[in-house]
Amino acid sequence: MNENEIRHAFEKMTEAVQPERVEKRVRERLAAKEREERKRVRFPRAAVVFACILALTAVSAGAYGVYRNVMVHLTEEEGPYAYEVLVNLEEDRVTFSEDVMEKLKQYDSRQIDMEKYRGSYDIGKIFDTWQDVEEWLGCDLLNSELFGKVLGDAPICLTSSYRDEELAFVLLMGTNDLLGMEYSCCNISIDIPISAEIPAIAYGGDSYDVDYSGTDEVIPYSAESGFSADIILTEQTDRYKTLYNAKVYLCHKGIIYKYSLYNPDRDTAVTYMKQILDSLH
Amino acid sequence: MHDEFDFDAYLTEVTPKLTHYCAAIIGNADAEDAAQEAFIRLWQNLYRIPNEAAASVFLYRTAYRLSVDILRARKRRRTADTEREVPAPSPGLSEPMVCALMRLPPTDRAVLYSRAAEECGYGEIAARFGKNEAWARKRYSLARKKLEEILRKEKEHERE
Repeated sequence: MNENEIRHAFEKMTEAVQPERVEKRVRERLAAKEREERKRVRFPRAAVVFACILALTAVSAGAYGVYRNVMVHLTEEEGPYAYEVLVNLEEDRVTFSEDVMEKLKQYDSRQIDMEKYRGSYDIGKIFDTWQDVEEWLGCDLLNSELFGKVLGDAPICLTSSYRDEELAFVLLMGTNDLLGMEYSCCNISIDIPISAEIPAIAYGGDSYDVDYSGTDEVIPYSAESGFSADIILTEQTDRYKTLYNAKVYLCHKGIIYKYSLYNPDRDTAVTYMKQILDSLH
Repeated sequence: MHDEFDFDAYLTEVTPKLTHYCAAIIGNADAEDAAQEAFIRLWQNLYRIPNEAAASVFLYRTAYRLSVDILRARKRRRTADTEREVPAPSPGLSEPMVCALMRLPPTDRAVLYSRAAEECGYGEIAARFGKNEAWARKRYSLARKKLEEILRKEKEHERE
């Protein structure tokens, strides 16, 4: 068997495809997208994350139908600042006050005219699907080596979080019971720092500086997928039962991916986490 | 992406190669959809892709993942009587080598196609999968061994 035989076989296998049809369709879709693009504003990632944090903070605070001050501590220099956000849960709509829109404009280095979109942000539309999340945040979720395979049609839930001074605000997205593993609860979340440069500064590129304090056991694992990570195992006991929490943190392209899994059996928790790591690509 | 990158010209140049690459992984039926979607994703991500080499890596990697997703979706839909990952070869495609290739896992088909049909270097193949050159060499060698093994078994089966 030589390479010519293999090549010949592949030629036979693929000779029926029509690339010209692909090119035509791509051009049609891009033309349609460009028309659509001209109609809407694309905020840079930082602005969108900022807007989401405001919106989510307001929603989680139970604001409804009234202007409410949302306290945001965006950077250390800036200090805490109150932004006015109007939340209408019935219409799934968040309206920002003038100062919020001014803030959003500051993030937009391209100075796109946002006048006609002034003051409203439909959070439901922004995050309908993971594809939307990917497009709006400019991150690499669906194509990501870390998330692509396990994300699937998982439901999206959003929360905002203040981590520490270096990371400022981050946006968390997670999903529960993703893998349907027996007696397990699996939560996968990602942290998207407002500044894409922050993880590189804080964590030296793609390596994540994990805090091992309070952990019971650290199990280094080299997955079949090529990823190496420490599985951090913690035993948690309450009045009724003992659960084992297996966690893995991975940092990739400026986004921190976190896998956290609970199971009543220690070995099962570790095995499931290894399966997750093996499944990444 | 650098301003000099001409997406239109790139699309025209690379579409045939990419469509055939997808067809080698998932068969002809869905290859055009996978290739099409990969180009759309590339276009959407151009602003953060530094050069043409990176664009190529992104494109092939995305096309591979989309193809695998299609295979996975197909597997979910698969009924009890259709056990193959790739559709049955159409008439004229029944030669042993073609059948053997269709029985390989998608990664093996992609690596074999890249090396044997596209004549890619191991470095390029490795980049498409986000791996190193040693991985590509090993994977290619293993894929060939698997292919030989399938052909050998087929021959034995015929003799019986």
